[in-house]
Amino acid sequence: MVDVKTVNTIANLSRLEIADENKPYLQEQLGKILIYVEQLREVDTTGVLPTAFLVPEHDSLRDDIAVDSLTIDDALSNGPLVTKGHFAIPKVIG
Amino acid sequence: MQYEVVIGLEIHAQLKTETKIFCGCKTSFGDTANSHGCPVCLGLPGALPVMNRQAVEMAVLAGLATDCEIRDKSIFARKNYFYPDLPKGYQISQYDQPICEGGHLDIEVDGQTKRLGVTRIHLEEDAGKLVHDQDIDSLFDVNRCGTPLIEIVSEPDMRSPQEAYAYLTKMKKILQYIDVSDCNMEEGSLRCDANISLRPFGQVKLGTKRELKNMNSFSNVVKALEYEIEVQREILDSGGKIIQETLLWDANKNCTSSMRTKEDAHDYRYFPDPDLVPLMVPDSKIEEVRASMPELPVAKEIRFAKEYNLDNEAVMILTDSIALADYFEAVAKGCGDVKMASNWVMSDVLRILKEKQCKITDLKITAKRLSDLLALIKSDKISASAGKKVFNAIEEQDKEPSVLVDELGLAQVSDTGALEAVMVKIFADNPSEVERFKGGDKKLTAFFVGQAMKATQGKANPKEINVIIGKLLG
Ligand SMILES: [Zn+2]
Repeated sequence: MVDVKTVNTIANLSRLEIADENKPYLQEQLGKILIYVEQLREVDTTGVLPTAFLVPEHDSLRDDIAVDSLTIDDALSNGPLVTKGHFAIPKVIG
Repeated sequence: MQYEVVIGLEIHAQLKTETKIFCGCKTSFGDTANSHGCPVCLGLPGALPVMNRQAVEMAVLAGLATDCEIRDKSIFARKNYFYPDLPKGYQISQYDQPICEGGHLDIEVDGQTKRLGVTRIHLEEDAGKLVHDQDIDSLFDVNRCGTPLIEIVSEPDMRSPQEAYAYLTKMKKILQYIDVSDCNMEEGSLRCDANISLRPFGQVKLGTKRELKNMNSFSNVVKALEYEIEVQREILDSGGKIIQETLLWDANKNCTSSMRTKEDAHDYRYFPDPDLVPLMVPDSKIEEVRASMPELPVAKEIRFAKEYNLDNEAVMILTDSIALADYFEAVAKGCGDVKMASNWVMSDVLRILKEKQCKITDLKITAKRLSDLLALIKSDKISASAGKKVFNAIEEQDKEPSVLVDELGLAQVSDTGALEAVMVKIFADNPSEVERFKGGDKKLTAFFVGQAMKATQGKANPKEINVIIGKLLG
């Protein structure tokens, strides 16, 4: 079980609005996830370096050469609200 | 109470690459909104970032220029936060394993050299631009999104706004010398945030720091720091506690305002970006980049002072950019007179650059032409004042100095016979002045030289005239 404060923090960081009646359910679910991760801790990893990447290390750089970008129309085509050649978004800082 | 001021700076510099850090979209500034976007920089699902080689080399160069260690393996991390200028919902940055670490920079303050630590330099992507609009809430332009940045973090080693200013000036000069950034604060290619705290003198523990943002010039950084020092001093003197927060500097009102009202401590939840493999920089690459390093500002300043015997002010002016320094050196070597070269470059060349608002390499008065012109003056082919006319004419007409001297009829008359004839006539026309001169009024030399200049439309060689006056009237 995680406490309701943690659920609120995570919801806030994820910009999710969660109704109060759904919170106990999420407390339980998030708690289960943590238990699962706790289980992983039981494995002895002494001397094993943390693995963040599964592919072998290699030179994977790109030359600094321009390629065509999307057309403005294509670039904007996924915008839920588009105006004056821009994505229109909610106001952030007043 | 007396407090010690502790300042640390974070500089964001846009790198001068052709393309963005993780995609092939152009980085050019000022183009039509949303014309440089692709699935990667728009954050479309499934798009994969690929690191720009040039940006890596520039970051390594910046690291070497500030005596950092370069990590052979550094890691990109996701910095998670929701903000509409960030389509992916996270910024790709570097966290616990940045590409450069542990460097330093020496500054001069009040004639003393002080070494300031450079904690780290890491690579990251810039955010997009938000345009605030009357009708709609905000407008988003993706063009800047993904422009490569280096963030240069200093140690909290500065003890006054003046030291912060010296650090910024020096860092900017280095970044421009190594040609990795335009460092234009107005266009936003260089940005600076400051962390500042106060502590009673002698106290080891640092006071609570506050972050200052939104300073759009170095002088505003100084002003904002001075303002914040007073604010913190007043709070501490009255027994209050400094609350950690981020403040925005308002250059019009000369004051700060709090950026966030809510007390939500940032939780960026950094983690290694699984879309990017570790960034490998082998020793061979570091050495290759080191070999491409130009002479750095400090080395050039010391050399100019020694080699050309210039005072500190002249050194700082002439080494302002590599292009100007190269220009000066070419002129000095070409005409063989350092003093003359430095005077002309610092006055006339800088004046014309300011008037035309162009690059020194775009001038019609090239280093070769200026040194040719100075050689003409030195050998008395033309007078110094005629030289100024030729200088301006070169810039207007794009012609060689010798050609313009002929076309403008500015060649100095040094032919003794011709000048003697001129002087004989002047003496005949001014008998009373001749008498007074002979009676000992030597100040009349200037009068005779003036008459000679008038008679020759300024082309008489004054040195020659003096000799003739002495010969004929002495
Ligand atoms: Zn792109």
